[in-house]
Amino acid sequence: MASKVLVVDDSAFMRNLLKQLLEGEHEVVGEAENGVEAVELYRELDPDVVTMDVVMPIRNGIEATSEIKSQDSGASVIMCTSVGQEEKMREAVEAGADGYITKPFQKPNVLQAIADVIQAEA
Amino acid sequence: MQVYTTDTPTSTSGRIKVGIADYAVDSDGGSLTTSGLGSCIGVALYDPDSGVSGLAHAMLPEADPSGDPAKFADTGIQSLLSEMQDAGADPTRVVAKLAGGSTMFDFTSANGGESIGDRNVESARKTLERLDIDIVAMDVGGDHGRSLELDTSTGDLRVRSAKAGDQIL
Amino acid sequence: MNLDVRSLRTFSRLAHSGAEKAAGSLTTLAGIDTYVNVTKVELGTKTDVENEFAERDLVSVNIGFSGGLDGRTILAFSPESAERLVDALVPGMDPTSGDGELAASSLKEVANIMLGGFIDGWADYLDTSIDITTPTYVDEDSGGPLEEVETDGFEHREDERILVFRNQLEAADDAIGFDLYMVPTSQSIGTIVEASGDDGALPVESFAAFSEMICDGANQASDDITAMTGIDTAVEVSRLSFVPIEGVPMSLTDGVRRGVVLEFTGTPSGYIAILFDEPSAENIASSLLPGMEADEAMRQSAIQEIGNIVTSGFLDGWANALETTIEISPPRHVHDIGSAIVDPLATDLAQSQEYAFLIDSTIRTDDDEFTCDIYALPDENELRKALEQLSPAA
Repeated sequence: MASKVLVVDDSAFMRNLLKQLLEGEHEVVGEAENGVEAVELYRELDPDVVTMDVVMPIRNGIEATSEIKSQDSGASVIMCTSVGQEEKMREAVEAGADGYITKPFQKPNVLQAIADVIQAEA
Repeated sequence: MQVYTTDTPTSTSGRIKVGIADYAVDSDGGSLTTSGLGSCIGVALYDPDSGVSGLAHAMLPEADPSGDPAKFADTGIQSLLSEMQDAGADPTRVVAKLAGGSTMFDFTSANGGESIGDRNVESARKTLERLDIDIVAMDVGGDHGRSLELDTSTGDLRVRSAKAGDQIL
Repeated sequence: MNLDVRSLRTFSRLAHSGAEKAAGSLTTLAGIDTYVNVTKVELGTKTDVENEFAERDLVSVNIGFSGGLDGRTILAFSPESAERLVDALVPGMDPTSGDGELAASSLKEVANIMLGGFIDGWADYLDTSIDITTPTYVDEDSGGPLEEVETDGFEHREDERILVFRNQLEAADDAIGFDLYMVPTSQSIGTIVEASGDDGALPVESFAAFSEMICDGANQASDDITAMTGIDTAVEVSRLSFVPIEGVPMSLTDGVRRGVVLEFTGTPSGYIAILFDEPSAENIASSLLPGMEADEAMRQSAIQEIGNIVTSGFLDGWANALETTIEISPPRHVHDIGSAIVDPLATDLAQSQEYAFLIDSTIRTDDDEFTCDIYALPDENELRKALEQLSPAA
């Protein structure tokens, strides 16, 4: 079943890549370039899943995840980052992230992660 | 929180580069290349039935227990063969081609003994004999450098040399 | 700050595995098989790194890191490599249209993923967490890649000693090559040295003194070449690095080189190779034999002689500083695949050492008439003894 996805990444290239990858599987309802935009767009669009970059200008993905989770505890947020340090993953857990994908990702991983968080929510 | 990581990618171009003190296996009909063989020895192994091939580039003749196996001719050949077996090669069908092992300089440190190039060739031959693998072609020794390319679909080993020209083993 | 060989090995291994991870990321992202050619731990100054970027026309992406370690990582491409890489990432894109921004964005994201993966291994080794900044894209129109590093904890001194981790990566088809650098601050180097234990550590000043000797030697060699050929030459690079022994031949290509190889004995002993590409060898032989119809034997002799003189210029300073004598063997003429020429030298040392101190210098004329590369490979143990003598405490 197609879900509404909000893609958050400061890289236009990466947002493009995710859109292409999700095409025909899920619907990308919005794109944000930083944590502040992500929180605003989440409120506006009420997506089923957020893919969230971590290192971004203005407001990073960990802070944005905490904010989204505090406003909507049922939100599904998947971190999507080039950082694979264990300590950073702990920070993501604390912020309430539901999944953690390391870049570079492959299509099956992303689809699996989305399916898993949707199922966990249902 | 579930973590999703990417698997190590496999070769996409069908051309695998083998470094120094390194070996690699291919079973998709691509090519394996290595360059800069001076006194180092290049060992190409090929199983014509399964198409599983391998190329090793070893620096020294005999293993030092603490060292990386790929660095030495004896342990390098052994490791390469077992990796080929894991990929589906039958060791009774595997044949070998050797290239490299030249003696480019007569340094004083050799102390009049056998050069490292000669010792590398000798060690590779002995190791292959012990593993019961036939050497079907060889271009070893001399005083020039070589670069190699193994076509894993045919088992052809192309030997490039700045001095002696190109040839196919 | 003290440095020891065990720490250098740890650095080298961490950098190499980080670089392999970065290469794997690129293979996945762009579908281009990418390999780590050599990982070098270079001992130099901030100015050395800046000069290198100034002299080569490079496109680079910088990412700063802070927290458990502080410093900067840089991914640097030649403009051609950058173009090919963008084409692989975003096929069919027209860089002259409005796509230019997407091109920069794709390179930035590639760097983000590669450098992020590179840093992870260090964080896990040190059992700490390291924050990375968003990437900055730098091309010839922007400033130097290190211009803002002062803010990251680097000192303002131009001659500040830094360690640079340089990883040469290349695609299997040789069409794309680039360097991944990591430059930690002095304080962070101290952090890693402490973590890996210091066994017989040498103060970093000894390495600095040796680096200066190398620079003096390279300058002397350059002056000697100018005196012999009447052509102005300058030292383009001159550096000391610590590399896995098999990385020594791998830092040369398989292009054909001509020149000489010599053996030196004393404290330290080792090998030296002075190599020219073929057009450079032709040009230098002609300038040494002006107006003469020289046969091949005469040209070979001219090259041998310049090798002799360059080697002396290069090594005399070392012998004087170390208050010893270094004997030099007669030059052997070589004309072969570059990496294969250096292979037997590295292999000989590989019998007793796993890592090597590699000294490489490049001397070039202003008008690209010729380029001369000098590679010196001293015995590791003997060099360490020599460095002990240079240490201020000794």
